[in-house]
Amino acid sequence: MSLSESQIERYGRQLILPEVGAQGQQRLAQAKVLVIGAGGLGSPAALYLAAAGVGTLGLVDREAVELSNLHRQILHTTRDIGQPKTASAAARLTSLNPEVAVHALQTALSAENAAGLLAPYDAILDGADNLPTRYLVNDACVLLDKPLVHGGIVGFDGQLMTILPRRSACFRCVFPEPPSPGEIPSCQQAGVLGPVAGVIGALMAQEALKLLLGAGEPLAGRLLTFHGRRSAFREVPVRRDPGCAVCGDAPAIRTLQALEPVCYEKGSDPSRTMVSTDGV
Amino acid sequence: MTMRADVHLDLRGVRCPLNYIKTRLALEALAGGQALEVIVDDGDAVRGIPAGLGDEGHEILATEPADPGHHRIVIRKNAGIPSFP
Ligand SMILES: [Zn+2]
Repeated sequence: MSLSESQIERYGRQLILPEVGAQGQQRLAQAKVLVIGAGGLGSPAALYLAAAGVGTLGLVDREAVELSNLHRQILHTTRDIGQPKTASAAARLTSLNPEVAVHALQTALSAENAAGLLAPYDAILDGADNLPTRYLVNDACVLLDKPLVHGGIVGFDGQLMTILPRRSACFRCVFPEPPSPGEIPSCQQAGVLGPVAGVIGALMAQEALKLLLGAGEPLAGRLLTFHGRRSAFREVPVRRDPGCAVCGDAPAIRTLQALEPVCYEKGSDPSRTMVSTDGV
Repeated sequence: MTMRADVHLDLRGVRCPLNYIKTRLALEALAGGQALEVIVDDGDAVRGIPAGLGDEGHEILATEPADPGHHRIVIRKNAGIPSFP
């Protein structure tokens, strides 16, 4: 397969990177990436992946577009209110780049359907709006051996980590247990500044492109935290835990299981402060 | 100086930055040490293409006027740059 004239023009500015080139571009065209959540993080991530020419993008979301989403969920517009998010997203992504096949998966990810939904994809981006889904996605990616890019945002802050199952720390290695429902305030109360979603979502797309191209060094074994009030990043080394319930040497979790639905907002435990979520 | 090239690319009438992009793609397809000749319109490309490729370690063997209104640039692909990925 060789690049068409319009592909050379569309992708020219990335094609001239030594790490991309015609071969890399063809790799992207053949790649399949699943984005969990067509919200604050999924929006910029999916837009950049579509723009870059990732051939197949899957989007999982169960919600419809609401007015309160629009300050950060840049895939959707005022006209899309009431539409299923995956449909709104698919239309936007296809108009950005008609070469991309978008699979709109308008459903809630569950222990029953996760393995089937994730299986066709080369890499998974987790921009879910709730912690049970995050643990579920993490466990599914470990069990299916899929590279996972985790992103989370709350307030002015965000965090990012790439997970190469059983080779680098997984989400559970870093955050072994979800907080109990009593520890955390209502789902509806977590504030977030829109551009934080852009910062972290764009970095998630960057990590995915690096994985697909085999370029650079993945953000694995390192938790990158963004501190928006100071406009600073910090890197926290994280290690795979041999006792981890899912990726450890004797894992307790061998099949996917549902978790109690909980939401998360900024809490007192600093290790958990950042484990938050996008679409609330 | 005249230098034999392994591959020739006529980029007359192809504007910036597309002429640079096409030159880069043509180089990607070569083996290290092979030479590429491109013919470009006079103008920015005559300085810009050699400068950009030189920065990446390719060797510019010639930049000289060709037929009126055009320049000929001959580039040897840097053998040290691994083909990617
Ligand atoms: Zn783990």
